[in-house]
Amino acid sequence: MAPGEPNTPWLRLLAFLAIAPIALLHIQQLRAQSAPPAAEVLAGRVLEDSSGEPVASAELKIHKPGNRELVADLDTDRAGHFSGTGLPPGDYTIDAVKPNFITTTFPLHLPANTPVQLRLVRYGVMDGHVANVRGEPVPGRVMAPYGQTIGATRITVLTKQPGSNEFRSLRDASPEDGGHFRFFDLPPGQYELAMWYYGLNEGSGMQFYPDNTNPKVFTIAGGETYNNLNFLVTPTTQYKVRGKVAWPDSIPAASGFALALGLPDQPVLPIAIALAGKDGDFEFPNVPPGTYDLFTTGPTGGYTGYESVLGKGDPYYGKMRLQIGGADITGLSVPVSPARSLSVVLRAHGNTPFPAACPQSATVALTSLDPWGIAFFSANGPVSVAKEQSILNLPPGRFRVTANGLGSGCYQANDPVVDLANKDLPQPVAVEVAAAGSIRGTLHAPRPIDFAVTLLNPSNPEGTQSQLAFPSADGHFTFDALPPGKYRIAAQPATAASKTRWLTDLSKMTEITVAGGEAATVELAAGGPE
Amino acid sequence: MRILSPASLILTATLTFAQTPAPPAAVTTAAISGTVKDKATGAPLKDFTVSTYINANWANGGITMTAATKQISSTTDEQGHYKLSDIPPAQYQVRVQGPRGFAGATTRIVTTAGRDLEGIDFGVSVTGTVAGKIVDENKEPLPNMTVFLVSKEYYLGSVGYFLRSTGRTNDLGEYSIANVEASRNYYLVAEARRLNLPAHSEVPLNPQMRRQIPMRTWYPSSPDREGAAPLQIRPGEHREGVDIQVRKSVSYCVSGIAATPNGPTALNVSVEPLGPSSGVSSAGGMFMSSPSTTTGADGEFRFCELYPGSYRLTASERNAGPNSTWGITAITVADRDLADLRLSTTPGISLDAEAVLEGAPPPTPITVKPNINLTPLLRTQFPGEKSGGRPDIPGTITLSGLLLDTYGIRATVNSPGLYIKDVTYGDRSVQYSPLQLGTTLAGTGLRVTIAQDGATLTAKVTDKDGNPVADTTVIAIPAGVTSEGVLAARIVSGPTDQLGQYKSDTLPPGKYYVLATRDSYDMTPESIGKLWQSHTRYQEVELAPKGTAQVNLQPTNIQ
Repeated sequence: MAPGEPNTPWLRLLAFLAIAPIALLHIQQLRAQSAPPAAEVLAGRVLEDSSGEPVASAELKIHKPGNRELVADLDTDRAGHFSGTGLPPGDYTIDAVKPNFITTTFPLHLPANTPVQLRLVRYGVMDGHVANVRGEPVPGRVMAPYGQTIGATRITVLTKQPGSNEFRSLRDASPEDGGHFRFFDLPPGQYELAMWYYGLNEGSGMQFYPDNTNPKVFTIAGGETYNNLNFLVTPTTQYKVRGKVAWPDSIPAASGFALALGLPDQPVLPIAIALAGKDGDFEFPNVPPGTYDLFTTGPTGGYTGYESVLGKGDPYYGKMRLQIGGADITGLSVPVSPARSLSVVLRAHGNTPFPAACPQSATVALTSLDPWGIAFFSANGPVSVAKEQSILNLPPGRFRVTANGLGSGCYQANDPVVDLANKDLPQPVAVEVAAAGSIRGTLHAPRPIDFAVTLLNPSNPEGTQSQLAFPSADGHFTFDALPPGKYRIAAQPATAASKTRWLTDLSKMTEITVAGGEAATVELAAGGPE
Repeated sequence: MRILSPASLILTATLTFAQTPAPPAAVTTAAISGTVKDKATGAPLKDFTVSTYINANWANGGITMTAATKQISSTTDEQGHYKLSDIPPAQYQVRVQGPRGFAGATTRIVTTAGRDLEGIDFGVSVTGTVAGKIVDENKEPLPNMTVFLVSKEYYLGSVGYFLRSTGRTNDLGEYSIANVEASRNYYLVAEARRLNLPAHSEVPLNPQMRRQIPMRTWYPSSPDREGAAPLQIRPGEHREGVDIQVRKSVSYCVSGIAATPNGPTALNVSVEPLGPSSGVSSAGGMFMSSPSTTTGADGEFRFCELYPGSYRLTASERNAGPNSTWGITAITVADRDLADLRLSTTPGISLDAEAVLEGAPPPTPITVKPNINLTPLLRTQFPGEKSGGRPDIPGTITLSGLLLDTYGIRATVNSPGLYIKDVTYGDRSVQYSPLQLGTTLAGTGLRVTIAQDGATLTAKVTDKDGNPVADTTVIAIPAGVTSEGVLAARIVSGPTDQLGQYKSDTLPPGKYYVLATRDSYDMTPESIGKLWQSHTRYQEVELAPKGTAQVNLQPTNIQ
């Protein structure tokens, strides 16, 4: 198998499906079983979704609605079987939980006439190693005597944002001593992989896998393992960048400032990090030629393994463009300026009254789109309809503004990205919300629980999102919190290999229009399992 | 997780900045150079850092820095070569450290006198790696398990188990722990350590409806440390297949109310299994985040998925500050749920620490101040905990914000002739044992006795032909140590410099047993046991009050 190819070769996606980790699970009543067990006995089996293999050591949390504690907590044996006794008749919910599998929830009615069968979707894995040109593993961290980090190698998994082509940093880690790294617990989605390093004998740099011009996009739909995603750190011509942070006199001389270099067209990851000491002097010892943005932040209050944290007092920031090549840069003076603020307000989307389904206030989170070399760098604060609220102490960089806590009847209809370097930025920035819609459906089929209902939003081709629902025994299913728009919906046999769920033929689906604040109804018909 | 290195801990304890300005620097400096090699194979080691501090005062195991103090360091090349330049004449502790951490760090004593010194070589005991797989009774790999490297060692007078390093399993149940010291015993423990503890667990009320839970399991598959097998690797070894099959236990719950002196309220509570747990050890210490949560506004909590064993519950106020209250409760879970527990917090307490001088005051008043520090042994310091200071001699300082908790005392005095003779709390010496605050009458303070009759031991180590033996360990053990634990606490040792000379810190006068050896020792019972068995056969030396005794030694083995 070629490096970077998934070892689940059946997977060929027509459209990317970002799956909400709710469903992919389904109760199938086994026809082959003989006499029904006693009414108070719950018995069943858990299988891996893509392979059909039994899942051992899965936990089954049995909830009774209205009870704080579980009524039972079971687990599966080596053959994936579980059983429990002493459960009174009634309606329950089961959470099936296993590390490195998507936690799934489904309803259960006892007495059940037959054992239940559940399918769990495994998370994805990306695995590889980092070596230098001599085949030696590169260090994950280089330490100065007595502890400070002066060099590091970091591997970052970036994930594609639904509805856009943007990839955002999801998780990062240093390779182990042998140069090996392994990311697991990756939910269905699309990913890129990158490495950045500084303070190594080879200098500093940033690389996407397999190269920066054509980053490979890895698709995980459930259980894929991508092996041999290997990076090679090659020495290149490197230049020194030396200078001084010109911080104002109001900042104590003993403070520190954090500096980071980032590539303007790959702004997610820094290529090098440095600290300015008490007199403001700093040095990036090995920087490959290129055009960079230099980010400066301070005063710092300490550092984590790889980044700094802001210290007390008013923060100052600087951002400047650097062209490096041909010679070392020395005597650079880096100006810093006071922080900016951003005011935000909650508004209705379009020329409509503020939707009743949306809360009058929420919280807003700002995600930095620049590598400032500072940890905990997401700012957040309240946002409300009633008045503008300001978020203070921000750097002159780019941020995405996202509202949280809008509830299931409401969604954010715009996606503001602000650049605080722009002094003429119109403020306040509005977070626009609108009422969400829902679908209430009925599936007419001999055995509705043998089917899964797939919902696609084809009007959003770049980030087509899919959701799944599993009908109840009488065929009812629902989808909530849907932005208004045209959707396509289809029922498919849930027992077929899960790949068919991803290869949904749009032409065979029913189109349905969802309006804000309303519940659309749909009736689907399906025959027996194919 | 935060790992304190031995070096950083000692520096924290003794690093002080003198007020005096830098001395004028019209001196002849010299260079120190040599090779860093693998002690076992002799192979050169690249990317190792050799460093020291210049323009500092080294005395009694500590360093006093001045404004002119500067770190000089050099990284070894492909041939293992290093060179430290511009070193003024003085005696230095020169330290070598690997590129990936403190394990295996080695110190040499080097005396310079304005002439370049070559061949100052370091033999480093190269660390290794331990790796394996954690599975359950179904042979299923267990992801996200924490695997601890545990040291069984003497600390503050008795043997304990201490966390030394940690690894975490991936989706295949595989873990790997790097920088493991070779040629000494370690133990391994696997544990399911969740950081987010629900304040009110959803585990079934009926114990019979609960599933069994993974319990702390010692390598190879023991639920208790009595069944644990020690593990020892060779220098540079990458040991594979150190697999643990995790044991399962009935799951128990503890429930109750957390309250401040003002009554039940929402408090942060953490629950940490003991023996081993986070804490300070002979190697510095290691602190892990414990599973923790915030109780409901009524202070109620119900923690579950506890297997039989001892736990430490720590309650603290949200947004804890200097005037917060704290509560620490130890519980033991045996064979049933514990209900109606009350976790009460209390304000910090004060403790006077008095420095007294033994004997008549000297004609010129003593200006040096001792450094007295209380280190919480099982946690990091809380905000508002003023646990150290520097009293006059004689004089008293008041420590404040302390908890009814276990502390270790470190008292040092950095001046020739002076030494800490004893530290007492009530009628009990706590110089070499843990201090449990609150075990004496209220108002009892610490008493730090400083004596002026300290002596010095010097040794000259030569081979049988009379040539000086550099970088050899000189060990001195006071006569009359009554147990292995006291020996471990009171042993004195240090390396010879390049001329084969060793000079001790200021020591209490009396009889000592002295040995020069190329063997290394550590705080494990195996190593301390050997010294205990053999120490009365070492060379005897009597240190007279205020005296200096010189011994001539040839290197021998510890046995």
